[in-house]
Formats: sequence, structure tokens, C-alpha cells
Amino acid sequence: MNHPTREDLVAHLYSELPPERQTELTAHLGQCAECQKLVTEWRGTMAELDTWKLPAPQPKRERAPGNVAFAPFLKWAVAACLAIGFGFLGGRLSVPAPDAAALRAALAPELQKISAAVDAKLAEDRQAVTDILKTMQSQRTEDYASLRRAVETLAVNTEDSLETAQRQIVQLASFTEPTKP
Amino acid sequence: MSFFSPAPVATDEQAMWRVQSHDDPEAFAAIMHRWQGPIRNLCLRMTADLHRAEDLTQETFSRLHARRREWQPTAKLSTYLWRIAINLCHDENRRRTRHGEVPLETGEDGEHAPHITVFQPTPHDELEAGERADQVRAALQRVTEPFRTVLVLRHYEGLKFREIADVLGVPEGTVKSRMVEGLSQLTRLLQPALNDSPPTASAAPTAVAWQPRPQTKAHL
Repeated sequence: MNHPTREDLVAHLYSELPPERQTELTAHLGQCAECQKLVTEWRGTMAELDTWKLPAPQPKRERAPGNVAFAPFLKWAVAACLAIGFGFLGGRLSVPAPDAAALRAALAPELQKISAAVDAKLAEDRQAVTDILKTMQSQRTEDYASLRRAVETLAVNTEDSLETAQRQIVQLASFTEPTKP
Repeated sequence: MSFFSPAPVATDEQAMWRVQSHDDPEAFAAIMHRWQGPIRNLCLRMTADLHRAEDLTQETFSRLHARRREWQPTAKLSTYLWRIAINLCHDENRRRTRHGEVPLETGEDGEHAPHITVFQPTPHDELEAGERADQVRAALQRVTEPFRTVLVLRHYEGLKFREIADVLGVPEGTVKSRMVEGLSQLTRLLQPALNDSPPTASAAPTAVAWQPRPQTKAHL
């Protein structure tokens, strides 16, 4: 049997022969166990080659210049916030819930005392304010009376002065010059 | 930026022409955008090292820009770009081999080397016994480099044999021969793992010229 060259067989495997030659080799491989064995081995190797896949290239990220310095800081800040948050939460959760009724009972007398004291203080303040207001009222009344007296005195004095002036005018009008001897 | 606003670049060659004649940064960015993924994948397949692959990809585009005047507008840009990347990968692998970072492969010509390193599961590989991809990756790195280059370009990057011949500057028949040898080597290397049994001399199906490297030399 006239075997094709191995170069032809490899070209056949990659479909690089002219169509009629491809057909010829396909027919030959159907009849020739030796060539078929070789081609089968090569096909197996080609299938093995296909198992090595490459990762897709990572796109290079365009970062703003400011972000270069900021990103690590931001990362640490977020980490710190999380740590503090979790710590706070853990602390809150680990402490047993207080007994509200007992706490209220214990605090009630104190609260009543404080409330009474506050009320007393408020009453004192209110009394003080009332006293001050009364004092101011009486002072105002006195001031008013004093002012009134002063105005009345002024009015009387003014009236007296007017009468004196009137008399003097009458006297002046009736004055006659004495005749010369 | 030039007075004329750059027209939408239709092809790689048009973009590269703008880079060559106008030093157009936008055109170069467009080339990078299109080709960064494929070039990175090629470098990753050739070196099996993500960081090195990233570095080599950057270096490829740096070199493309530095050598933009050498590019012939009649040539396909992709051919030029693949060639730069392949050469850089070869240089890198040669440097790693010199420094003992990877096992020695074959002789200088790569075509008639007396031995290849047969894949042996290392303890690390055994930990990931289920990861077929790891085994394939490890085995592929042990395929002699000229054959590995053709395997990667044809199988993973989907270049036709004619295009690979243009990239490597060799006849298409040579490319096919290298593909045959590459597949044969890889089949042999993967066979112990496939059969879950230690490799034997009879495991080599076709490449009779190749013999398993003694285990003591496998990880030089």
C-alpha cells in the first residue's frame, strides 16, 4: 500500500490539504490501520493540547492619581470602623439585660426626693418673683404720687408768679410820672 | 497630533504605516490593542511563565516601535510581530537554559538531537495529578524549541503552515516536518502520563532517533 507522508497526514489533521487530497487521505485512513494508528495518537495529543487553557488577560485598571494614595487609607479606615463596630456590638450583646422593674423600684424614692426638691425650689422662685413684682408695683405707685405732688406744686407756684407779674404790669401801667416843680 | 485627524484605521498595515510615517501614537495603541492578547498567549505558551510572558509581550511592542522604520509596508505586520516575539522567546529560553532554570533540551540545531527529556511526573505534578493541563504545559516545555514553536503557532495561534513558514523564514515543507516531530515528541512525552505507567524505550512510537534522557540528567 502506498502510504501518504507524515507531513501530509499532519496537514490532513489540520485540514490544510486541497479538498480532493483531503478526501483521498480520509479514504486511505479508512483502509490503513498503520496510518490510522498514527493519526489517532496525534489526535489524542491534539486533544491533550486543548486542555491547557490560558486565563484571560486582566484589564489594567485606570486609577485616578489621587486614588493611589487614598485607596489604602480608605481600606484601613473601613477595617477600623468595622472592628470598632463589632467590638461595640459584642460588648452590648455580651452584657446581660438590666432588670427594669428592680431598677425602677430602687430609683423611685430618690426620684421622688428630687422631684419634691425641684418643686420646692420652683415654689421659692415663684414666691421671690411675686415679691419682687409687688415691690416694684408699690415703688411705682409711690413714684407716681411723688411726681403728681411735684407737678401740682409747680402749677401753684406758676400761678402765683403769673398773678405777681400781672399786678406789676397793672402797677406799671398806672404809673404816672411826677410833675417837676 | 497632526492637522488631519486620524482616520479610523482599517488594517494592521495601515496602522503600522501611520506609525512609521507619522509616529502616530493612536495607531500604535490600536496595534497594541489588537495584538497584545495573541502575543501574550504565544509568549505564555512558549515560556509557561506568566510574568516572563508579560515582560516579553511588552518587549515585543517596544522592539516593534524601535524597529518601525525597518518594517516593509509590503509585508504583513502580523508576520513581523510574530517573528519579533518568537525571537524574544527563543532568547529568553536560551538564557534560562544557560542559567539552569529549565532542563536542557537538544543540540543547537534542534533537528538531530540525540536525546529528549521524557516527561516524568515530579512530586509537584503528582500533587496535581488530576490537572491534565499542567502535564501538557510541562510536556510542551520539554519539546525541542523549533518544534514547540511550530506546535504553538499552528495549534494554539491557528496560523497556517504557509504563514508559519513566512514567520520563521523556512520552506513550508520544513514547517510540516517540524510539526510532525513536535507532535511525535509530545505524544511520547505524554504517553507515560496517559498510560499512568513509567516510560519505556518501546513507548516511543515513531521517533526512533530519540531516546529517554536518564533521570539523573532530566532536571539539569
